Amino acid sequence: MQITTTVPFGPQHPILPEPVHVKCELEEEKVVSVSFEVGYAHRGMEKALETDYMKGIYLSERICGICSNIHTTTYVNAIEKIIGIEAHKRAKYIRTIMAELERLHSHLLWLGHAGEAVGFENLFMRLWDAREIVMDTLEFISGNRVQYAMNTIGGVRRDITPKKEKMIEDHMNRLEEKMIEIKRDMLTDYLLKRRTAGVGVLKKEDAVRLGTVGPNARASGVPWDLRMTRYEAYEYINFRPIVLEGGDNLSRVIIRVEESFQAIDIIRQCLNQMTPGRTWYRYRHEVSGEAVARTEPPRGELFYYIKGNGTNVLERVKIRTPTFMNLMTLPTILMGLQFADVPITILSIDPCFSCTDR
Amino acid sequence: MKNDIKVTDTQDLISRLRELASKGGRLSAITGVDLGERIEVIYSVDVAYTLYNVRIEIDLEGEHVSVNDIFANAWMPENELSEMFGVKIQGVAGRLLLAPEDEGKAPLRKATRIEVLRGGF
Repeated sequence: MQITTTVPFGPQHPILPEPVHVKCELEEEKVVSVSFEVGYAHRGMEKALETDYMKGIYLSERICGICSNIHTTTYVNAIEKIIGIEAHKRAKYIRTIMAELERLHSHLLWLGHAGEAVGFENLFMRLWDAREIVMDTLEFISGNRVQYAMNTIGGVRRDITPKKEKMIEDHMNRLEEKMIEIKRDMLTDYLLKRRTAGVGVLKKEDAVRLGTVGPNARASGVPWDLRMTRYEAYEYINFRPIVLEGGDNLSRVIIRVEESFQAIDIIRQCLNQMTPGRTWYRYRHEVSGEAVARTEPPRGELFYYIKGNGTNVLERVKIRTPTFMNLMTLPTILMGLQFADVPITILSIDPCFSCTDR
Repeated sequence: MKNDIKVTDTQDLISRLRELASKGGRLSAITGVDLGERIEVIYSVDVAYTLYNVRIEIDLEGEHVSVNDIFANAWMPENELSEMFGVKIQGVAGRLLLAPEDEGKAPLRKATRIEVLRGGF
């Protein structure tokens, strides 16, 4: 007779940076059923954002500790659409540089975690060492390492001076050198391949059916990338989404490595194309009407719906974060796995629960 | 907003969403907006990077239709909508983010005072 064992995974688990509860039912060591619970980090941010729209910039930045900048970018994009203004061109470039730096630090952070999850701790240390260059760059630009307070309605609060431009260029060169070495060691590593290749496969049709977004979708052959809508300075940048066909954990690792190189390239393009100019203009007005803004943070599509009621207090703010969609792939990718592969597979979708729960 | 599609009854909603799904549409979000006596529900569907917003106003009483058989990724957004606005949706438990002691408080309704949610803090 086959005995079914229920194994709770989380909300607190060494592999999880944030809390989620995944309930796995096992037959011997094989996963036969999966369910999950979220909400451990729910703070009621949507309700809190029904406030003065200028305070909303500060609040939206605190939804996530990793992609904090893109939350404010999407928020201010929606407000700018409602009041009918557009940021200056230089501000758009600065927002794009910040977005790509954030993508870099998010991907490097995740890749380090993935290395740790499969027992490759040296990789974890090297990637986080490389990530430190990105954190330093962010600190030089904004004065902060996590919440940068760069965006405001109509532009950005800080310019990137020529001295800083040079510094960003130097940092990207240093980072690229390190990343080339790390990529070589990483993608030829026997252990990493054995633990990730063919594990946690998300087929293209499942990725489409489940509305998967971001690198998880692109690793399964779905070429969705909101940057192709050419918001901010992406309309001037030459790039194509990176798409892989494997759909397994290894593909989700490789795509984040490749997107890190792409982010460096986009930052360089921005630096080369930027011309001197204004970065912000003073704007203070009542917000009347509604708008949707969408962007492509490191984990996939971020959606903001904002409705104003003719005062400075917002009527409704709806936020749909990428992990909110990607979580629904968990039962599909975990089913049939050995239990030992569950941690790295949960981690492979790069879940962010402070975003999901809001 | 651009590409708004306003519908008045459930059948029209379903047929519009099916039409968008048949064009390769992906459900991007389900947004609830409290209008006082009614709730407006906005289904945002992305078709090749163009976002279509199908809008319907629903009553607080009664059971609203689920779109889970059109979009397989609707169950989390529908659970959230049900939980946050206190509306009933067919086959949806309405439990996702709130702690058990906050169940049924419908925090995103305008009538729900924030102090209630803060409990003993």
